[in-house]
Amino acid sequence: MKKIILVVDDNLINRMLPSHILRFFDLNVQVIECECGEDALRMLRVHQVTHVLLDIFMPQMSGLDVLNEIKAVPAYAHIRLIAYTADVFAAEAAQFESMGFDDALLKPLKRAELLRALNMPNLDEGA
Amino acid sequence: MYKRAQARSVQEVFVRLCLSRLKSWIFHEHDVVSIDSQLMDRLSHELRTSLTGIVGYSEFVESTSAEPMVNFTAKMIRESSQNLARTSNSFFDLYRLEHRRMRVECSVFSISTLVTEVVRLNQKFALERDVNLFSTCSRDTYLSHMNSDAQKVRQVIDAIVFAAVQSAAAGQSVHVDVSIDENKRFMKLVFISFNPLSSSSQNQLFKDFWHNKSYQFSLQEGPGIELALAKKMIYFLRGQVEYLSLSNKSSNLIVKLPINSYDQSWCFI
Repeated sequence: MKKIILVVDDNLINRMLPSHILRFFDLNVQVIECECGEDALRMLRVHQVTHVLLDIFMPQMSGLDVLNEIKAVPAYAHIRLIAYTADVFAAEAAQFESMGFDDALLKPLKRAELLRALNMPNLDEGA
Repeated sequence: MYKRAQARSVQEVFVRLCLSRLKSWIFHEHDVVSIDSQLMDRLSHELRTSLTGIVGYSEFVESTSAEPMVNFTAKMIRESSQNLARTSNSFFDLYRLEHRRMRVECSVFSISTLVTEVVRLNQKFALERDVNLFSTCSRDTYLSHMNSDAQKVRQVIDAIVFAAVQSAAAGQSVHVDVSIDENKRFMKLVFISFNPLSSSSQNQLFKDFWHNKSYQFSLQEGPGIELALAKKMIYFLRGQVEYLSLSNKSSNLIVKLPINSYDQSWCFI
């Protein structure tokens, strides 16, 4: 099954980076983007999203609000929810797990970390 | 009788007036502090977000471009942005400390895991500078846990390790030794740099760190603000710091942090 990754971040540069990394290596994934929580919830209704990369600090609806909305819908139980944060010291996996996330990615985003969170093989390791 | 009652009433009016002015002044001050703090939080977030974008994209270019000049340029941009990120983070933390808005959030964590992790994260930087960075930990300490603010303890160790590596010359070593005292009250961290005193900028760095009461790091470029923050953070966590130099042998910075100082989370406000 093709992975469909939804990146939710109010900052354009940080929102585009995951798709640039994945497109560059021609990985068989579809990346869709949106800049706020409300749009993310609308996109989840339209697309068969498998992974959500969720920024924590966003205006209006925060990443945690979006997380709770997604968790409340049983049909979204299969979606892997990944925190996408610039907060170096908050990026403790255990802390995010206790919030309800499946994983956490720290900004600045690293390719190896992104592939690990998406359960995809790291091309460098195979080489 | 009448005059006394009149005087009392004048006094009451005066006291009420003073109280109302004091109240409005306090609320005004509170609003100013609150707006100021919100602005700083916002600034901190905006700076960090922009910098992570720059670092993220420069790393992406570094890892994908085959052109050596492009790679080199991307590396320079990344390193410069990372330094700026460290400096701005330290600046905002210093601001919070100075304005008594720094919170302590305690949790139980393994001492050795934390120290090893910080040393591991600085290995790449040490390797680039050809500095041998390593840590040692006694058996007792290896199994010990600490109840403190893990993030701040990590920040202190990271700032000192980073500064020690940055100021060490190629081929020299930086050793972090971690132990606990006999009464199990303090975690003792010894940062040892094997650098002759006569010629070492490292010695100056540690001296600056030790004597400095404000932020006057005149000689050392770069790590000054981080070390100032680390020192303030050590005192904030109710720790101690000592400086010991062994002539022509090494410079040692000894940091002691309480293993279990806080029973619950608290903050200065």
